[in-house]
Amino acid sequence: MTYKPLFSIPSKPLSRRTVLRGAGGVAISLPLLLAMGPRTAKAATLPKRFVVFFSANGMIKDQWQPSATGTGFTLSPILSPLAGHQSDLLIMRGLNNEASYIYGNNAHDTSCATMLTADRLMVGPSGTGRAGHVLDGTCHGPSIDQEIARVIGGATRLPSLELGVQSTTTILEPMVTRISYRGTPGNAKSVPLEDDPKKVFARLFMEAGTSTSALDTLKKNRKSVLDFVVRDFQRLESKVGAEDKAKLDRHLTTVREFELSLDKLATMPNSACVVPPQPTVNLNAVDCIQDDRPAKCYGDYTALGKAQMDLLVMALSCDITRVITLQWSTAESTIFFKWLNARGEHHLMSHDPKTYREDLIKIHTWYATQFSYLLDQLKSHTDVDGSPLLDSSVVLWANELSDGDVHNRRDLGWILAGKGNGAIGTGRSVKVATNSTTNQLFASLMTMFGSPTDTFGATQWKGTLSGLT
Amino acid sequence: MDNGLPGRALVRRLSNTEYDATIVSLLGDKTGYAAAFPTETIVNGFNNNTDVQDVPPALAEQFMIVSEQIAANATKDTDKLLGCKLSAGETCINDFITRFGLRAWRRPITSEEQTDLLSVYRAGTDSATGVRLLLEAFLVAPSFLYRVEVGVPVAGQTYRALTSWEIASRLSYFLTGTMPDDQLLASAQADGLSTADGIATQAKRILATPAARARVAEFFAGWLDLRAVDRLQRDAAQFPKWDSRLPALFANESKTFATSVVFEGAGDLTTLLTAPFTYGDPSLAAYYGGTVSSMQNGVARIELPPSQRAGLFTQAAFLATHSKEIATDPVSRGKFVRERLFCQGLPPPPADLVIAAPEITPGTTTRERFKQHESEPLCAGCHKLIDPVGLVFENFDAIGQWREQEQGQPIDVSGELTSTDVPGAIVGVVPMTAKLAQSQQVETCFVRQWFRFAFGRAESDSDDPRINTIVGGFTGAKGKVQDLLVALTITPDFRYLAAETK
Repeated sequence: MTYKPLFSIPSKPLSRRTVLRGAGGVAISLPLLLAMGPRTAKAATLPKRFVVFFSANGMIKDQWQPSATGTGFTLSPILSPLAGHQSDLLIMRGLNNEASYIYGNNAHDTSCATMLTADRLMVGPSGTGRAGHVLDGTCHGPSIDQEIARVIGGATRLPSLELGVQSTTTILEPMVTRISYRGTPGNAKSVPLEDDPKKVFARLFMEAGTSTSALDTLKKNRKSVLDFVVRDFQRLESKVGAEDKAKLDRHLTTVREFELSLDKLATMPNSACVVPPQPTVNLNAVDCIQDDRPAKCYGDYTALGKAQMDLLVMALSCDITRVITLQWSTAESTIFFKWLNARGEHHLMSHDPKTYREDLIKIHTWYATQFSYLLDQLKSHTDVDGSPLLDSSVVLWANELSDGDVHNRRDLGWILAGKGNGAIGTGRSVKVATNSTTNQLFASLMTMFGSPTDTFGATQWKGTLSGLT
Repeated sequence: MDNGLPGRALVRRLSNTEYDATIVSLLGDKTGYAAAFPTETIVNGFNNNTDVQDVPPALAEQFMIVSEQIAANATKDTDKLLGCKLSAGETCINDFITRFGLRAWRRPITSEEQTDLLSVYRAGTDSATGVRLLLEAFLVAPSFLYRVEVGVPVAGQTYRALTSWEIASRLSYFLTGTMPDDQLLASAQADGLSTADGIATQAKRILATPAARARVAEFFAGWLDLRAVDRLQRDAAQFPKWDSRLPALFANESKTFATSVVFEGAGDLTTLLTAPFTYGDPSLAAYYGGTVSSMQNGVARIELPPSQRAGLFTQAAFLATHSKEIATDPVSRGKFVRERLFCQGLPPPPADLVIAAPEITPGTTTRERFKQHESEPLCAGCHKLIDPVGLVFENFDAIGQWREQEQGQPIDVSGELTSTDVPGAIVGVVPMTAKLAQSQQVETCFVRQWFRFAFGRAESDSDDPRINTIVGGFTGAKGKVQDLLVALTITPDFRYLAAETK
């Protein structure tokens, strides 16, 4: 892979003052400091990162699509918050999520399960259609984030990180609320999301303040315990049937991976990372006073989302992981955007785009503002050579539907941001070739991340997507 | 076996609630460590479905990290933990491994395991570290995290019988959500759980313990989706009676009501479905327009307006959870009745359906908006099953308050339980709950819910003959829930393992 410097906004050397202020006063990524020195690292050796940003319920197409294709386009009203990032974007119209229609499943409430897997669904744990609204279950194959993590995840302590913003406050089935699936075709399991920024922080920075010698002791002790655990698995697996053995074996695999990752435990702060402050936003209700009365309070959608995005950037910047999904709410999201003076909850309004056109535009524009914040942060944090993290990243903003009202899975409006070390030609708006599928986009991404293929997900849509570079 | 072979039984991992409860039983540590684990995947309302019990990397990490925290706490007083003097050296450690192993792994440990565990102790740089590592090894081991069942052969049969140790764990986790207590372990030690009588005797004893009450509450919390209650958000401007502290009271009310009926009250399904009273915080009396008739331990029995309220499905927890933030959700309410009360699967919407959903126009009722579902032939297939049931609940708004008008118009709550064994026109929820109480399908479905909770899996068609036998007993016991629970523990599925799974 050759590295094409495509900086449209020059990454100027930063003063120490700028660093401190830009990173919130406390959270400083030390690679950033290298920006103040001469560039020495070879760009070609920079790692690539993959980020998914999910928001639900389709879009208002005429307010979303740019004025023209090519490089000379004007951003639409919905995407106007991204004006400062126009040169960082590859705006794609026309992709189809065909897999969501296999077996007559329509996109009614399953698109989110097929969105990143581009694969069919399987009959799932609630029974053979006895108890599910849709053909219940799980996705047949793994999702693109988990597949990329399978290829590049071994290089970092965490293979991947799955973040949610109010993604589990629902009675909807897992298939409507989970976008990441790990495993092999026919045996893929949904990956749980973490909605609590405090738990994410603990997971990312658990070794903060630990000395090298204490960390060495910890590693040695954990290895003693885990070696025993592996032997216990082996003893049990020899006694049980094939199905149980397979189940135990999947767990054993993650134990082994965890044991291997111990070698990547590093003291913090270290040359690559300074620990940011712990998030203060509460996911769970705490006692508070509201309108002079005792009440229960917790962090709102915006505050939780910002905390998760800040942690996302630090996780990449500290190179704790290189693959992260950020899921805002769920498919059929019922978030009530009170702070935008929306007149209804999102999903219900998405089914009446005539009446609620202005409300829906405000919601989509709000998500564009969040996406813009994420890109700002990825730009202000730098890689080892001083270039913005965004240049080595591929950030996919995906929505499970195009037109939410009719649950349309065709003509999706997706955006790639970041240059992936030159693999993505940004600053463009494109209409992909007719009948292009998300399978083909994912095959291209797999190729881009070092595992060349022309097949991803359901095998009937082979090929890669041209025109990304 | 006259009921046919037992069904499929996969190895089961402790759920998050079971993990915490087991640490309390084992070490007396009530910290609640599973809060650090990733969110569980919920299937049919329950968190113990074995088919989705994957261990993602985040959980594998947490099993290790949490075990370190537990061990650090437990070894603050090492001699107390060990039950012998650490200064006595490996004699004490070996003794501890035998005694603690029996409880932690819920069976006697083998000599090979004993030796291996001792080697973990020896890996510590000093004896205190050795004890800590030993405890961590016990807790991260699959022998702790899973209930692995191997069984023993049954003469002349392809299926295998569970051992008394394995039955003890099944009984304990099914009825109390934690490890076996001392009496149950003693019964297993004496092989007292190889007969139906032996099992039933222990099941009845366990049902009288406080842990059983908590477990039954957990069943109802799952069945009724109460996990979603805590995060209910409503705007006080739209709902003047709203208070952000209400959700906790709602969830508690439904659990307290259910356990009070099951353990102290009539004990039957009909009462759960139709009672014109509830139990909870006394402030709920004003919320429902009822009166407090008695108080016990801070819990009020509240007599409700009998023309408005009857049983679990007129309680605020169900009504508010199956609503949207600013409006009722007849689809969610109707779907619940079909799926969780009648166990009816709904067909998926047809492919390439272009759905024009109901518009909210000022001055129209929810029912009028949903007329579109009827007129659109592609929607009607499903929604003619859902909507006429969901709309019967329209007297209750999105926070479970009684109302007779919506948008200035009277609310029409007529409907019908079509495609059930209790058809015929109904008007309003109270008459509907009376029909639910008469329905054999609802009774069967309630048994199915317990089957799913007990065995950690969805039932399949091949389970039907055995489930029907259990339903027969439940009907014979006049719908007494405690009798159902005891009956489940002596079924072939509870006592035997299908050949193909081992």
